[in-house]
Amino acid sequence: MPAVSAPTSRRPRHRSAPPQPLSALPAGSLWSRALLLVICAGVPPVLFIWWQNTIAGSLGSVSACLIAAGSIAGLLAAYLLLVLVALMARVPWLENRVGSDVIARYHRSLGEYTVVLVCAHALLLVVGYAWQSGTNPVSEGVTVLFDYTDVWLSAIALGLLLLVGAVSARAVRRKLSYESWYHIHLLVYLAIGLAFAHEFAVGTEFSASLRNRLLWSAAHIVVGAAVVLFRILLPLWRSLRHRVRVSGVVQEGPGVVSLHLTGRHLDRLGAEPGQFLRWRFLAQGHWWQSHPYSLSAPPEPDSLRITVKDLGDGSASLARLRPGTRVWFEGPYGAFTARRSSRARRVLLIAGGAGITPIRSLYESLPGSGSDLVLIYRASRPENLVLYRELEAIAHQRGLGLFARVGPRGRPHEDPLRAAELRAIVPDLAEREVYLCGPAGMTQTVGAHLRTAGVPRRRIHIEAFEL
Amino acid sequence: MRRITAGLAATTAAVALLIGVKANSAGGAPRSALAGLGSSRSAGSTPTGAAPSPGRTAAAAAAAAAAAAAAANGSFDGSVVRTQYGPVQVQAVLKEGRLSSVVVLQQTDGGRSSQIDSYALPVLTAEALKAQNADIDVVSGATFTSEGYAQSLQAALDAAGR
Repeated sequence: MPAVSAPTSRRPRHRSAPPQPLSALPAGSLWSRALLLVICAGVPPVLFIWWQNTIAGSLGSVSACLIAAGSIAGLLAAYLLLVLVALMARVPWLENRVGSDVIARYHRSLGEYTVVLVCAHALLLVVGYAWQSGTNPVSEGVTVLFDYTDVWLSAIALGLLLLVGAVSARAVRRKLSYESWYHIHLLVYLAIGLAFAHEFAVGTEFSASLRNRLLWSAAHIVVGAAVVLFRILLPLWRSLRHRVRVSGVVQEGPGVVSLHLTGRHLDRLGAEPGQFLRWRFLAQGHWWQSHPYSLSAPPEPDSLRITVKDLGDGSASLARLRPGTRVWFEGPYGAFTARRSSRARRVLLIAGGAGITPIRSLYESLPGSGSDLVLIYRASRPENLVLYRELEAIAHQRGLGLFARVGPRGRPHEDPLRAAELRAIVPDLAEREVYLCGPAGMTQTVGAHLRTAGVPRRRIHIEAFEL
Repeated sequence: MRRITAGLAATTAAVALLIGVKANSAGGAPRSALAGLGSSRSAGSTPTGAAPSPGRTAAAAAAAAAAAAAAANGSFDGSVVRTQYGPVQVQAVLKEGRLSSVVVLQQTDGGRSSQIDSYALPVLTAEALKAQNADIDVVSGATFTSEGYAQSLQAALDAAGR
C-alpha cells in the first residue's frame, strides 16, 4: 500500500503561474442559491397571468377548479421548459460560477418535476372538461385532441417529453450510449416548438392578451438566442480562433490515455485548473460526437493536456488519434476550481480513479505548502493510479501530502475512505476545504463519510462523472 | 425522487390555495350574468363591448317604436357582444309581450368554447324563458358566454320596448 508523504516544510518552487486572485466568498453554494431565486422569481408573473385572466365567479364548481389547476400546471410547465433549456444553454456565467455539475443536477430534478406537471396539465384539463360537459374522459380526450386548435401538436410534444423523461430515468440511461441519450434529448426543442402553438391558440391567457403574447414570445426568443450564441456561435468562433490540434498521445495506464494539445493564444480562453472542456476530434468516427474531459494539467498559453479513461463510450479509440488532428471544443466550463475555496483554509483533495484529472491540475496550482494541501488518491488496483509519478514529483517539489489508497471498497467498515480512516490521514479534516472527484457512486459515499467526519456541506466541493 | 415528490405535494397545495383565494376574491357563485359583466368590465381584463348589429338595427328600432303601444310581437335581434372567445348574439322572439323563445345568432367559436356553448346555451335559454328577462345566472364554466348572452338578450328586449 503506497503511502507517500513528504514531511519537509521547505518553501516549494511553483511550477505553474501564480494562483489567480480569489473572491472573498467561496463560490458555489451562494451562486446556486441565487440561481434558484431567479428561477423562482419567474413563477409569480406566470401565476399572475392566470389570475388576471380568470373571473373569480367562474370557479364555483369542482370541474372548474380542476380546469383552473390544469391551466396553471400548463403555464408553469411551459415556463419551466424554458428554464430547463436556459439552464442547458451553456451560459458561461452559469457554468463557471454556479458550476456545470450543479446546473446538471437542477436540470435533472426540475426536468422530472416538469414532465409530471405536463402530464398533470393534460389529465386535469381532460377530466375537468369531461366533468363539466357530462361526457366520459376518454371521448372528451378524443374531442380535445382532434377538435381543439393545435392540441394534437401539443399531444405529440407530450409524447416527446415522456420519451425524453423515460430515457433519462437512471435505469434506462445506463443502458444507452451517451450519444443516443443526447440526441433523443434534443427532441425537447421540437417539443417546445410544437407545444408553443397550442399555448396561443387555446390558452386564453395568451389569445386574449397581446401583452402576454409579446412577453411570452420575447422570453422564448431570449432563451433561443442564448442557445444559439453559447452552444453554437461561441464554440465555433473559439475553435476557429485557437486552432487546437492533437500534438501527442501518451498511454498512462490500462485504458487511460493523455492527449497533448497545442493551439494559439490558449491563455485568452481563461481556462482554470479543475475545469473541463467539451472536445470534438475531427477524425473519422469522432467528429459527430463531443465529450467532456477535464484538463489534467494547468493550462499553458500554447498547450493543454487532457487525460481520458476508457468508459466504454468510444473513448478507447482516442488512443489511435494521429498527431495533427484538428480539435473543436466548447468551454472551458466548470466551477470545480480554486474559486470555490476561501483563501484562508487548508485544502484536502480526494480523487477516485479517473477523477484524478481535475484534481491533478488543482494539486499543482493551488497555493500552499507542506500539509496545507493534501491529496488522497483512491484506485481499485495499483496500475490504475494513473499520473502517479507526476503527483509524486509535485509532492516532492512542494513538500505536499500525497496518500494513495488501493483496494476494493468492500463493506462500509472496510472502506479505505471511511470517516475514521480519513481523519487518521488528515486530523484537521473538519477545518479544510475538500475537493472530491470521482465516479458518482464514489463521490456520494465519500461525501457522506466527510460529513460524518464533521466537514460542513458548504466546504465539500464535488465533481462527479457518471459511468 | 423524494425531493420531486415533496415538490409536487407543495405545488398541489399551493395551486389549491391559489384557486381557493381566487374563487373567494369577489363573492361566490352563482351570480347574475348581467352583474358579472359590469365587474369584469371594470377589471379591464375582458374586452367585452356591445356593438349594434348593422342593417337590422333600424328595423328593430322601428319595431320597438311600433310595439311601444301594443304588446310586442315578433323577433328582435340583440347586440353583438364580443367576448374573448368570440362574438355572442341572440334574437328574442316575443308573442304578445311574452318571451317565447331565444334564437342564438352567433356563438363563440373553436375548441373548448364551442363545446362549452353547446351545453351552456340551452341552459341559458331555459333560464331566460323562465325568468322572462335577461337577469339570468352565470352557467358554471361558461362565464363569458353567459355574460354575452345576457347582455345581448337585454339589448333585444330593450329594442322590443320591454
